[in-house]
Amino acid sequence: MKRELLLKAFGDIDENFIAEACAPLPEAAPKAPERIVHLNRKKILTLALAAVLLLSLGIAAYSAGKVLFGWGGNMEIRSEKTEGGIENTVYVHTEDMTQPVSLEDGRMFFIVNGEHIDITDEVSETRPYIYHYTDEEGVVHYWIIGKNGPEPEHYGFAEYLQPQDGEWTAGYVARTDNNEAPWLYQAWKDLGFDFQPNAD
Amino acid sequence: MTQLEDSTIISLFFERSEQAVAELDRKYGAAVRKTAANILQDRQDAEECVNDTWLRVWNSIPPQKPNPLVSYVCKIARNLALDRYRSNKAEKRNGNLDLVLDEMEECIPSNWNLETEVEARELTEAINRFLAGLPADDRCLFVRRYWYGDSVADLAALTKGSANRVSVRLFRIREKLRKTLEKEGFSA
Repeated sequence: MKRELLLKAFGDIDENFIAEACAPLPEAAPKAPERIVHLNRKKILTLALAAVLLLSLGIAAYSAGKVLFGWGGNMEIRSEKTEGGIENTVYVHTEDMTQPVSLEDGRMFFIVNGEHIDITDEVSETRPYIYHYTDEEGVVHYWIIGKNGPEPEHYGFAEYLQPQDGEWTAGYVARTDNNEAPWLYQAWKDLGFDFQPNAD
Repeated sequence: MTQLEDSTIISLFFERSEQAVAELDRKYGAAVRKTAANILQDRQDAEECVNDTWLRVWNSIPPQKPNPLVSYVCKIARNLALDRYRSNKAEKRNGNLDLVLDEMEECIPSNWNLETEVEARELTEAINRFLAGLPADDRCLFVRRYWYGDSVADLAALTKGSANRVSVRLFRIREKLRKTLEKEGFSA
């Protein structure tokens, strides 16, 4: 590879693109007022919607349209354009909701998609267990399990959704203080998510 | 004080008015300085490069009537800065530009070698097509990084995001370009 030629090839791009980029950079996504207007069947248990979810909704609304599914289909997010901007509604269908982690004889099992995986030795307060699958819509679901204390019952979990082009990310964190979870930060790092601690 | 229209500044050059350079500096001086500084990483070198740019513009307008003017002056600054960079290179390595070049190489399919001027032109055309199809925010980010040579930290400040986020976005754009080039036959 001749670097001088590479520099020339990139240097000779259309002048209109050069002029365009000289102006202030456009926003990555349109900004709009957003709020959660409804929590259906509000038996959320220890579920805490992380700030990252709230921040992601507007982007999801523009790029994805209307519905996101999470927690094995138990959480549904609908985003619609209204006169006031983007309105997001979160529905949590508690009737089928089960925890994704089961404690049996002092061991931790991760349960998803019919799988029953012993993750006892895979997780710690700093080490996350990460599992992912792609749903029928082409959205990748990343499950993250970690421990907030030494005992198995101190487990916490999170789920993040991302389309295959990586254009947006949405998710939530449960049974965990979003600001104090080294295992969660490690997972973000491993997955390349650009979230900041103390974001909420 | 309001900035003059590009056409008015060009008219001043045609009238050989020294105010032309002052107005050009006022309107595009920051962009030109940044372009030169990104490449040279040295304030004094960059400032000399800016002065050389104004001289080059003074000598070329007339007869030139460039449009867009900002691309024209930044391009002159970039070429002058690259010339100076080459002459400085034996003495000191420029971390930022080398990094930018490394990233540019990542955009190119690994089994394709850029060896001739003709291939460089073909690559430019392919990049133009690719950029035309990108969302404006990604296109600007790409051009700021690989044409203006902005650092990731500068881009993070510009986009009001984190450096990590900028790096991830750039990585994805590079990957997309590489795959596009592969599809277009830029392979051995």
